[in-house]
Amino acid sequence: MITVIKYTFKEMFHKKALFFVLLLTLTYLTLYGFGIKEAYEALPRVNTLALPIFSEFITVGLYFASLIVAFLVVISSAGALSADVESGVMQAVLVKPIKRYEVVLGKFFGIGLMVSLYSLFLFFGIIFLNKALGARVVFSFSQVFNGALLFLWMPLILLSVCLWGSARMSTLGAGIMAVMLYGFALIGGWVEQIGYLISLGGRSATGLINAGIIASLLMPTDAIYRKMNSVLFSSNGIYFLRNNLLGGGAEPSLLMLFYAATYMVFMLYMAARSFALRDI
Amino acid sequence: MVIETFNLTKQYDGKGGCVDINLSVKEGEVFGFLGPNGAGKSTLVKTLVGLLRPTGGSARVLGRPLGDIRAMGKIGYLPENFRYHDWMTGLEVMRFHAELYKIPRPAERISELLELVGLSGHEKKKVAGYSKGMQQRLGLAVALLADPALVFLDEPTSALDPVGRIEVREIIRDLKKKGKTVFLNSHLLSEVEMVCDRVAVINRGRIIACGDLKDLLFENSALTAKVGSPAEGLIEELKKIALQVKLQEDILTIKVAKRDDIPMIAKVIVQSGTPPLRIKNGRRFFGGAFCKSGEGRESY
Ligand SMILES: Nc1ncnc2c1ncn2[C@@H]1O[C@H](COP(=O)(O)OP(=O)(O)OP(=O)(O)O)[C@@H](O)[C@H]1O
Ligand SMILES: [Mg+2]
Repeated sequence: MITVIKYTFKEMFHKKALFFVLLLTLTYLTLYGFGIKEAYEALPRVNTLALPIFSEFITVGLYFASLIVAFLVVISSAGALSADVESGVMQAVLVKPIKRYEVVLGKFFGIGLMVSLYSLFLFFGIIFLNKALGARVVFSFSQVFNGALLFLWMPLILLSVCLWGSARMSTLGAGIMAVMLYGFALIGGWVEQIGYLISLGGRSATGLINAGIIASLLMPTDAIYRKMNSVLFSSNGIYFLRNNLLGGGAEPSLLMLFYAATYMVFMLYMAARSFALRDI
Repeated sequence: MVIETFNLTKQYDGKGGCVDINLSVKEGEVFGFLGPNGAGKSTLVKTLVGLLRPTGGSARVLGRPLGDIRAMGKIGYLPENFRYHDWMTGLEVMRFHAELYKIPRPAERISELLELVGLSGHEKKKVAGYSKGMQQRLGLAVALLADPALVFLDEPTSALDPVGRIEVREIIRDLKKKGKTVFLNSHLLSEVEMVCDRVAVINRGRIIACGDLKDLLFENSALTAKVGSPAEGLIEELKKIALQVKLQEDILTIKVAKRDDIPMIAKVIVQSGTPPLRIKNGRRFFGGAFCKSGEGRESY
């Protein structure tokens, strides 16, 4: 399995797509940096007024960063198994003294390692840019640490789904399925927030909230994203992001986190199972 | 037995593939698996190496069930549609597969094999830049990496030049000398007959003949003689020695029971006063079977 992890990791550097993601990332960080610099200079000196705005910008920054990482995950993993089957490379690999689930897990850890490093780079990039360009927010070590862990957990969940798709269908099919599920999660997240905002106004919006919860069950990435936000910004009992479409809202329960973990493990199990049954 | 199959069947949605295959391959023999395009040769081999899941029957390879890890370490396989990670160099491909085989310190073995398949000097090039023949040579080197006890070669010379074909033949003979078992897929009788001890012939997914190559060739061989008009009583005379005699236009087709009868037949024809214009030991080798099904015009 170590061999598969090693070569999967190496292979990522030979993908042209990675280069585009890097380009996209740098462009994004540059634009984002300029944007917040301008914005922060125009802000009032009073902290109580500025704080919600800082956190808002950080949330938005991390939100789009997570989209970039999701994009990286889909392009690097939708074909992780299927493309090798389609090209015929897998025929030579699987006739070795190696179990098929080892190949699946090897791909998961190989791509996962790369994606995690990339996620951390983006996460700390956004935090660093904000700090450097004048965001007067103070994070404790545990806030940043837990926030970073939650941030890199999202792409790993998506990765497990992509691998399951890649284990049982074509690269195209796996990519479409993953993008659709991820899209559900995003839209579901918004819908749930809208429901939450409406309910703050005193009206009932259980339908919207339930739709969001169902989307989270199909793909729990957005729930993790909100958890990350609450971890980052709910210090000292103040939670700034109550009224925001991307972040705020009800903080996902511990049960949701447990569900997300189970979901990821189950997807990996399904990937290994499907791949073991696949005709190569 | 190195390979034993019991009604092994692999079909794709109930169609194609191979059906009810019963084979046994002994240790140290070179076994030829012959058949026209689409007969089911690759399907059987891919099932035996665990890439395809059988839809029926069972098999044992190196004494273990299909796809068993302990057996896979001693098996080499050159796929029909060989492809290797094209972002690696030839050398890297060899190292990668050596790691998969868990071969400790493979460097020497790798350079030895690259030399053997005629790729030394190209090992630092990216596989993407290899010609088809070079990729097939690389595939052969990968198949031999673990010094396997059993080697499956699925049409190993399909992309090779004539010199390459001779080299592969030599490699197979060498494997046999070392006591290895080779399972060779081919649709060319000429290729198989030079190296194989025993063959099986498959057509439309089923084995239609299996045994010693010489017997199979002979069982299906017939003598043809162009005779002008045959003398009185010649055919009756021939029927006494031959299994079957047919006259079509001026061509006599004579099936004989054993090779030693051939000079006798020639003698009878000449003595009858019919000057044979031409006598040919026409090898048809399952030509009939294949032609009936409308496939393969070659010399099966
Ligand atoms: N993946 C597949 N899906 C459906 N049918 C298949 C598949 N692979 C092979 N077949 C069918 O199974 C039969 C046997 O194919 P196979 O590739 O084993 O033949 P072969 O003897 O190796 O032929 P060739 O000499 O062309 O390599 C063919 O009729 C083919 O159409
Ligand atoms: Mg074939």
